[in-house]
Amino acid sequence: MVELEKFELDNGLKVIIHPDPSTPLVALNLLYNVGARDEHPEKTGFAHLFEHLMFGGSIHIPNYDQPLQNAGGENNAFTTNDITNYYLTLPKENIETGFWLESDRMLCLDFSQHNLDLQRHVVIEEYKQRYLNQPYGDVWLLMSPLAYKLHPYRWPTIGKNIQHIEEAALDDVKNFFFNHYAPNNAILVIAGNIERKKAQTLTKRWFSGIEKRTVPERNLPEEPVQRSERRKTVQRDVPYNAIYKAFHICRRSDADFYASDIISDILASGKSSRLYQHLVQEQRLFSELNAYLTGNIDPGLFIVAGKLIKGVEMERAETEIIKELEKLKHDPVPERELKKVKNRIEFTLVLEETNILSKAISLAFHELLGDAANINSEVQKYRSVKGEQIASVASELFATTNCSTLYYKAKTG
Amino acid sequence: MMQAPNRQKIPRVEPVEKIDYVRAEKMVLSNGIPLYLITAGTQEVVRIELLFRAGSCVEPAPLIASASNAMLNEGTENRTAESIAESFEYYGAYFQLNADKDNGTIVLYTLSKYLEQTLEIVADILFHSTFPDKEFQTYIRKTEQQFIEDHGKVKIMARTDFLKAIFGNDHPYGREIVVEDFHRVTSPMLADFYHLHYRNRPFCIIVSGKLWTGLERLIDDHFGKNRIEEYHLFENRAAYVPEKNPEKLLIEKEKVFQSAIRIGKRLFNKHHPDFTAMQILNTILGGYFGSRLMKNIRENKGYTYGIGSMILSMHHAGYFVIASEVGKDVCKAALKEIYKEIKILRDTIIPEDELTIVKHYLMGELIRMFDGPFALAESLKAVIEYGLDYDYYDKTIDTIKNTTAKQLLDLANQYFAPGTFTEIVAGKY
Repeated sequence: MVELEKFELDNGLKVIIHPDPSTPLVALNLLYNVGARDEHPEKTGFAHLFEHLMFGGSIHIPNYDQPLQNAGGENNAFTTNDITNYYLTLPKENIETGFWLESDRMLCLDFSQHNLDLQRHVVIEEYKQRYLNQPYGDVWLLMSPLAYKLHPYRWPTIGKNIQHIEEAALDDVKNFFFNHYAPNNAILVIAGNIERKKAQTLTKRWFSGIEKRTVPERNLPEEPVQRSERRKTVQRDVPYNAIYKAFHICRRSDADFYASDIISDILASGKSSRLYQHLVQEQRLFSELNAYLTGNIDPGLFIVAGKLIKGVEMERAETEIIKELEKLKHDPVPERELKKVKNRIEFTLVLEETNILSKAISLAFHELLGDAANINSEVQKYRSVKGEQIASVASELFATTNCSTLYYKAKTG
Repeated sequence: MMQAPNRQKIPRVEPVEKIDYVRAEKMVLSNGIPLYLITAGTQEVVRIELLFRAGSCVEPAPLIASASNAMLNEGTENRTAESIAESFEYYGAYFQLNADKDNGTIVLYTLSKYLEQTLEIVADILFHSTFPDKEFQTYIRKTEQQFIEDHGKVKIMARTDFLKAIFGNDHPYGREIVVEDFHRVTSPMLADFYHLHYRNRPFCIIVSGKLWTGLERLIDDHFGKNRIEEYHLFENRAAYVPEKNPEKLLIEKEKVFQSAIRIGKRLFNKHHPDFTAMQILNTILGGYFGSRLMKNIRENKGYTYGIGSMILSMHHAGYFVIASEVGKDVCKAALKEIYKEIKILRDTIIPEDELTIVKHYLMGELIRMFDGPFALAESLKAVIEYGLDYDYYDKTIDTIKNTTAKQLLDLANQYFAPGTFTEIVAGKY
């Protein structure tokens, strides 16, 4: 049970406090409700580039990292299609440094052409390192536009291409900041060894003076229902063939999300899972085979991804995957198997609560979805999924017309 | 109404003077196996780790240590591989196996209420593993494919050749694995290794989490009843680490976007009196986000997404390495800047304010190393595997507090002399 207190400042900043005296640290997590889905289709990759710029100094603080490190702190950030999330941990004695740093860059960034030029280079190198210079690295650059035709999930967080990052201009940076980096578009979580009173006082001291901003209403196109199967084949300089299948699922906040997640675990969580036992171990078709949800807030994807054992036919491998998916539509999941998957999910959620930072990140995300307190009802939501629901969700999910398939072929074999 | 805060003024920082952390209680099982108990945390979970001297250091041929470790749970005299996996997963538990150069480990994470049921399976794995051939064939094919895939990556190419250059291909720390090695290993070889290094052999146990009285009896029931056969660990091959001359090597690869760089040299391990002071020097150079290499090569030049350096300790040696992947067109320029930063460490005394920041940062890192039951277990393991104790951390804190800029200048001159570094580039130069 994660105990928490919530309040909201006059400027609209939502604040969650979770005291945990068992750690010598305090974590601050600041979630901004902006991600790659909020980008202009011709200026993609911007939310992530912006995350880099947030470390280039703010209005009163020329360097973000140095004072944090001097206070014994550590920090990082990540950008997804939905959010941009910043976090830090500090020894409890020095937590005020964290409030000072985070509030100053929310107040106003130090917009500099020099910083923009540099971070563009860094992000281009990141693009090369993670997407172009790795075997199978461009899969998401291919899959996203195959599965989505209208919704901005059709481009990955890093951006459609390097040109978009190269073309980012300082005016774009300023607009993006004032449109999205507002107290009324953010959630602050303070978790760890800190008393409620102190957390409240520090929050008010550092954040209440920041003015509310006008955040444009999010008005994203809804992805039209997919009516026919989509297929794409590419050849790349990789050693083995790989296959990727993507099925559209419901929104993160829909009740069916939990059944979909359980289905992915039945298929691929752990060595006793169906895909591993049948297709990796027994039939030796794949060297690795996974199934997972993309976890997006708007309707996301159910992914099945596998690398084939050399010599195995693509079509055969795909047929065997489909057989496993079909079984879920027709054969009831044995009681013990369903219980196993739920037990495993419960333990995973308990493990998450052993770490102050993962608790802080999770609280912020649940607050964005609706209510931070829902962190405590997640287990129950998984527990309440029934066997019949699995079959009905699977039937809808694994329709051929709902599927995009990518054959990623090795050039040499 | 609240007064506006003074944003010009940095909030006062209290340097961390001492670190209070939970220490393990040491016990001994009926058969002499050491047991460390760390009671910490708020969740009803237990982590148990069994630590064996069964790394690649002691393997008779390549891959045997890692393969026998990875296959411990692929079948026992009482259970099939599938039943083992299903049972752990039914109780929600995570079972992890890992082998590195020095150690082979078995780790279990479980809810406290299922410790008894899951521990029984762990004991079955440890004492009755069978290494069935069918599972072995699946394992070795998968691993071979993963290996071939990895070896097309410039990062892996550079790392492999770097270790080979500083330790030599004859030494277990430097030996390069080749595809043919995957065809030479057999399941009986793994069974032999298991009997020689795991079953009834000395090991140690670290248990952490929200522990309870009587838990040690449960551990003793499962792991304290067999007779432990002491044996002479044949580590001579690993213990003798020949000196190697610095090398400069380019591994050409066409059609790359980035080149991988490894620059470094042999150093020493945790037993050496200069180890911690060198860690401070390393942190300044490339050991944290604000390091000189990051500032220069990422934040000022934009040549890379990341660059870092580290000093690694192993049982019989240690080494220092700088690692990065840089745009192929700026590879030469990046190398030049790296050597420039090393030279500055030798020539110019580190400014006091920079040293202070690094000291504060390192003290913060130490706090994080002792935060929570699992981190406490990792930090304990990191000393007991060297025959060291918590004193090591007391000394580390002392060294961090007391090392001067002058000492670091001397160390830079002693250990970072020009011409002593091995340099590997994989990709385009």
